Amino acid sequence: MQWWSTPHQALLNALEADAALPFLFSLLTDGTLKPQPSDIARLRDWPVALRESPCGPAFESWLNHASAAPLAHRPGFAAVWPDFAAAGFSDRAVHHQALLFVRLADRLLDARHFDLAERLTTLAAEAWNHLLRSDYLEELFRKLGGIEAGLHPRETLSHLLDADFDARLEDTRALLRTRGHDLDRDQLRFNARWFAIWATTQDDQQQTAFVSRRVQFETACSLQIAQDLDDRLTALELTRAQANDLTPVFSDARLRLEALDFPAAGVEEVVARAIDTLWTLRRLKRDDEPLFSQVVDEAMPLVPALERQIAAGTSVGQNARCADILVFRAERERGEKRRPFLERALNIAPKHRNASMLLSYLHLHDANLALVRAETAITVKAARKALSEAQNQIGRARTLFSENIDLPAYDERFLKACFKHGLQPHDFHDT
Amino acid sequence: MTRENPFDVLEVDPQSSSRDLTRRLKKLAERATGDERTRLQALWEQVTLHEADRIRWALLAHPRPDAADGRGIDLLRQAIGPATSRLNANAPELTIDDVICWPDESPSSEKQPVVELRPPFPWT
Repeated sequence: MQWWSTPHQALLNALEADAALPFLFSLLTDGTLKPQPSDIARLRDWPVALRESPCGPAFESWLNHASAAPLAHRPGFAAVWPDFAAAGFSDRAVHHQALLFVRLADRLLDARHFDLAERLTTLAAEAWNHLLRSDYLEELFRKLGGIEAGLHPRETLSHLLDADFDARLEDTRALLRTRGHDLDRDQLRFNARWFAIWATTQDDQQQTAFVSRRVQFETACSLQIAQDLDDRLTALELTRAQANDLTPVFSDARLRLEALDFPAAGVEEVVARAIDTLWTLRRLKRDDEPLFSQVVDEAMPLVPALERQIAAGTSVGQNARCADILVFRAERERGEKRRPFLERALNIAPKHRNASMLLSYLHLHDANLALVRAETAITVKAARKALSEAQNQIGRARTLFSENIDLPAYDERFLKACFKHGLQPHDFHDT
Repeated sequence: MTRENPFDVLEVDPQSSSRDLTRRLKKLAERATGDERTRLQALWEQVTLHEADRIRWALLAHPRPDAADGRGIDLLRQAIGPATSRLNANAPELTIDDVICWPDESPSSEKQPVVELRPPFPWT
């Protein structure tokens, strides 16, 4: 009679799993979570599957060390898990992990450990991606009779995730309805990352569905933010609104967009409304009041995102608006401090009128300094150098904005300085 | 994807056929009463009424090969019970009289009974 049977092995596996699971949970969640009784009942095969994986020796070695070492001396997740993953997991172990990591991410989210929840969500998506690429799910489906039932693993997984997608989107809509300090930015940020993770880590066949879900999420959030902005702006009377009325409207929109990692449509909508508001305030001659500069300050953080979108071709026809914000920002500065904003505006919208005009005046300012050096130069050589610089700056000013009303005066000054030193205007072309 | 899975709750192999599931649930229902029986009925319906639902639940259940059936260890733990804690609040307080062996001054020559410190060996 065989004295070591399957029930004996099952008991031994259960005992070893009961000992191993707390260490595995501690490793994956940085000591935050412990296994619940329901976890232990479901996961008794997981340590067995890990031992049978290519990473089995590494897993055994780590477990022996972890069980003997005090908590402070145990290696952390980053030092252990990548080695396991590099060695490889069996498909059965990955199946356990794909299910467990989603549950752990939910628990971590309930406890507001967002970074850890993001880590577990990424691991879960990678695990499902692994299963979809392997034959494991096909084989499992065949054993379950799924093929005869007309089901397909990929479609079934997509169908199952749909419920989670919908729930996550509704949760985000509810978060976006809060205002001011009540906005839970951490949760909002996680929700956006959740869609990004599932959209970027699935296999090619699934990616289209998940990417479209992410686009749907971003579009819905953008529309809701824009609608809220419209409602609040409509309720304000710009002829009488004060800074503490107007600024929070754009501040809330900006904070939401930041938390959602700047969805393209949302950025375009908020920038458009900021531009409209700023031009209205200018027409009302309220552009020298604090509320004007505060609206510009709330719009400025959106500019880098809009610049990226324009460069990537995902935002079309937004160049002028992007440049408008930069010009409004430049106007607050004096002298050379304007130059970076104006050059950035012209980089985005090369024919932007106001940016061209303001930068043209900056070049004339530089021309003025060069002309002063030329007019007071003692040697012809020094005068030649200064006049060359002046000609260069005047030329740039003319190229940028030929209607600059100061150009004739600078041309005349340049000619006089040339005559004083016996030089001709065409003497500086090769300098 | 994080809803309670009938296969996990019932601790049955997700690759079981509908017939095996029904047989297993019937056995559990025989020992159950009242609300627990109703709950088992609901779980049975989730995994047997619609084939597509059974397959979906099975996909989302943790693999449970025979060598990982840990129900035996749970039953053993229920039978044996937990070890007594040293932090037992009902432990008697020791006094000096318990520590020092006073000479027996009783006129009776009857010996004191020996205190049994350990539970009797259950198997003989």
